[in-house]
Amino acid sequence: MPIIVDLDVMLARRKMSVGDFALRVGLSPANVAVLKNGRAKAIRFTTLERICDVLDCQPGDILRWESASE
Amino acid sequence: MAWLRFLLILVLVGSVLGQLLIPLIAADEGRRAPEVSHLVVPYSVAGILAVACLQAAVACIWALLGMVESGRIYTRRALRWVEAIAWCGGLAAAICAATGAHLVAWEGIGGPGVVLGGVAAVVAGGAFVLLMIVMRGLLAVAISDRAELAEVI
Repeated sequence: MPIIVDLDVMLARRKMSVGDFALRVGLSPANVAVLKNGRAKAIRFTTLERICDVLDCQPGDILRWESASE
Repeated sequence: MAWLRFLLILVLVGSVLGQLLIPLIAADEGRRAPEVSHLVVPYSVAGILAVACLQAAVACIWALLGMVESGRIYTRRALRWVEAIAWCGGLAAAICAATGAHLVAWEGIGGPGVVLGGVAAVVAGGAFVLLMIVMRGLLAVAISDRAELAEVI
């Protein structure tokens, strides 16, 4: 997966639990797990907006591109 | 939805009455024209089968209606019901056309009315089947779009 979701890093930096994060963003724990496991295929801008709001970060802090050939 | 279900029940009841009438009309026809009395039983069966196709299609519509109400219409199961409706329409048209063709070609009776009726059955049935195939395609596209959207977080 060339686009990596670095949710774990950001959650650790903000010292936020996954359950708390899911509750504050308004995502189901299952969807948070999908994001963390890198199985997510698409994300709404509104979801990204809430994540950035809750974690007080920029989209670039949680989304990272990696070359597929690695 | 309740009105649609009521209409479907009405169609079903009407078609059952029609199925009961078919052999009576055929027997009456056989008494009036003894030269076609050997056709009474097979043509009654054909008529009842053609109406049974309609009933099967109504049952499929009933099932699809249930799927719409429970929000499961955009699943692959719905495609099978649409296919079944198309098959029912095609089969009913085929029975009508085959009966007409048999009457004209084998028995050598019946005039232009029978030929026209057979052609009408083929055209109407073919148009119906094509329409259902288009509808099935639409549903298939909607199902895949829905599945793709469901993956968006």
